[in-house]
Amino acid sequence: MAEPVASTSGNGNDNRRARLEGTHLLVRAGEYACALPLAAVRRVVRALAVHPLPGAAGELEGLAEFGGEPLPILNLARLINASPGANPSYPVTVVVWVGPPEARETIGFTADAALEVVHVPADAIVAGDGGFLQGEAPVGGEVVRILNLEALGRDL
Amino acid sequence: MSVPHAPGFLLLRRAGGVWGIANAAVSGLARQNGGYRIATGGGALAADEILGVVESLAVRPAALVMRRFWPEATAGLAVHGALPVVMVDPSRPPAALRFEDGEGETDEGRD
Amino acid sequence: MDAESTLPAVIPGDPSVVSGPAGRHTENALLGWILVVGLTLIGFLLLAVGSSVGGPGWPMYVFLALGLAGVVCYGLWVYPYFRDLERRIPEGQERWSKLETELVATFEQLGAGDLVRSIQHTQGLPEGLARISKAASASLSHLAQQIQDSSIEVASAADAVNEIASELASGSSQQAASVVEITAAMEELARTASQIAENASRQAELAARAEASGESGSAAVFEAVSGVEEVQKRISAIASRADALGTRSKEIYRVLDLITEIAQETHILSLNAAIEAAAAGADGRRFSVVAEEVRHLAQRSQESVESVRNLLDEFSSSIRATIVATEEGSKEAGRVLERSRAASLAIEELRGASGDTSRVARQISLATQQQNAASDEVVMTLREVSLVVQRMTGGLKNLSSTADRLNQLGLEIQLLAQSFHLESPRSLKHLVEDWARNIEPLHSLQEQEGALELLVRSAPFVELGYLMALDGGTLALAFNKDLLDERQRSLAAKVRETDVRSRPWFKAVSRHWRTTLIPPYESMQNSEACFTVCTPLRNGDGSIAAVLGIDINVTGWTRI
Repeated sequence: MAEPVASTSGNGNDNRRARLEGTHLLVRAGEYACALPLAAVRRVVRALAVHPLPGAAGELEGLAEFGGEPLPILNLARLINASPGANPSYPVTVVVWVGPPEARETIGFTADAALEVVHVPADAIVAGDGGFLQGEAPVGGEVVRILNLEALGRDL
Repeated sequence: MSVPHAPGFLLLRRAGGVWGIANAAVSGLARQNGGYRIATGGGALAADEILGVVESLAVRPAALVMRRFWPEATAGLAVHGALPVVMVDPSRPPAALRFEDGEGETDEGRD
Repeated sequence: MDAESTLPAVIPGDPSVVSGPAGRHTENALLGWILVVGLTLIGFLLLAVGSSVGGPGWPMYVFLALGLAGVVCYGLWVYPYFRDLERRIPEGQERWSKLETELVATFEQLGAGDLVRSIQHTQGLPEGLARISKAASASLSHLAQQIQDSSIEVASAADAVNEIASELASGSSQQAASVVEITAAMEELARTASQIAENASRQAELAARAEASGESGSAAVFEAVSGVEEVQKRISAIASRADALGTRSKEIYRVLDLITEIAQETHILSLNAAIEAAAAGADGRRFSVVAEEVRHLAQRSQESVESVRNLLDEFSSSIRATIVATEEGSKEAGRVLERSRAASLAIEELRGASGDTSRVARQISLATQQQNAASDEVVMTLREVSLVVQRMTGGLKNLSSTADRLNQLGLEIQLLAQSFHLESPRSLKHLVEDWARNIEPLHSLQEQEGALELLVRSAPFVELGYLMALDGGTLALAFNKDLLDERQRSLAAKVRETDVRSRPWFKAVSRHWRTTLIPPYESMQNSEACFTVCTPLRNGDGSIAAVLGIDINVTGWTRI
């Protein structure tokens, strides 16, 4: 959902983004580990109940209720074309902001697990297509897909 | 039956989703084929279940990202209780609310 | 006075009977007259002496009167009679001589058994005598005929008896054989019954032992069943405890799940804290540390939970294995119990069956003993029957030999009867003389042989007919092909090479040249007993020309 622009000051957001530069939330989506920029992560919660939208594409699982607000839920594994992994023991919904800073919208990603907060140096990132998939970087011996949530609203 | 032209929204369930439509847009409501037929100015909508009428809903515009994966026209999103509600634009109802082939025959009274 | 007693006996052929005119009879009469006179006078003198001494006088006179009367009668009748008799005697003697000749001839023929010719010679006899002779001949002939018939009947009866005796003997033999078989079978039955009795007795002993074993087995099974029930109870108790442990482990699992959830929530919480701390910047640094610690704590909790879960998994696995084992054990104990109960039932049944078997075996033993006794009695009875049958067979053999003797007797009687020449087709002598009369007129040998063959064919009881010359050579032979086979005929034909004058029949017929019956002797043709009837053939002048003979096998004499 689109948040009112006045909820957070633009400078506050910039500061946040600056502080959180390079810091990512590591999540498991299918077979892949994905790093979501921590600045875009609003909350990690246990997987929310999703109400399907008839006629929606496969990536859009449906709508959920989060904090009294309707929240579109996307399947992160399908977004990044990941094959299904082992059955998740504790699936989560990661509530994120997507889109450019001037028009952020809040959506939720379903992931198999939320792992940890990690710091990924920019020089460690091997650039990807430059869109939603920003690139890849080794983290803890595993190749992690670095995602660019600001590009989500533009690219898909 | 006639829906009183009152403020508020009519909540209904169709194809697993919860939908809302402004009462002002509803001109009639009838049972049909085990479901409901909601007459609007532009036509009619199908419903599997009528959840009720609410006085108000905090309607938000739907996220653009959402539209990328669901291009149907909508009047916004809201939440009622714990249920997310998709608001219906009566002039451009989503395909899920249209009648399927042969579903359009009424079996009860008119508005 | 017995006039006949004074007459001399007439002895045929006694020349002393024939005398002259003053023959002995007259002399005897004179002597007699003198004797009467002499006796009268002596008598008178004695009586006179007697009366002179005081006796009565009348006897003297009576005696005298009678004497004188006797003398007169003697002179009037006796003396003339004797003179007449002396005159008639030669006539009588001549007639008597003729009569004697005829009688002699008649009796000769009778003595030779020729009742036909004997009648012919009676024609010269006085009527009465001729009639009597004829009657006697006829009676004899009839008697001989009857004897012949009777002998044949006797022989037939003897044959019938023989046949019956043979059948009876055969039947007795079969009976005896059957009795032997039955006896053997009964003895075998008795032996079998004894074996059965023995087996039944052994069976009874075994059944008794089995019964005893069954009792001890039953007790053992009962103990085993009790033990298995006890084991089953303990296994059930173990299973219950295992179930309880399983239930506790489930509770522990739930707690672990709860802890896991808490750990995961804590983890999420720590992540969110880290997010907020990171968003808070420097102010949130300490909080981020705390958040990190909390995350580590959650991680450790999760790891601990995993360890505990692993341990609990092993424990649960052991518990499950224990439960499975106890269940299996319980099932097995149940099966063992089932089988033990079934074994107990089976043993009880076996005991019952053993008891029944023992009882039945005793009954069988008793029954076979009774059967043995009955079999013995039957065997004894059969032995007695066998003895009776043997005696009967012996008796039948005796009967058969008696019948044979009777047959032989019949033959002897027949031969005896056949020794008479009767005017009857059944008289062999008559037959052969008839044949001789048929052959005598024929001149050529071929004619005679042909006639002989025809005659032999007409008499089915004749085995062989032959015509023999006086020099012992064979003139003609005729065989009965129905009675003699080729070999026998060829043997008979060898007579042509022999001089038959040494044969008994030739000797017999040539003794008196009359028809003769020769008693049985061994024949040339088949070395069997046969008898022969033969007769001389005469020329026109009455001289002997040849001898005709027929052979009859003694086995076929009843066909006569």
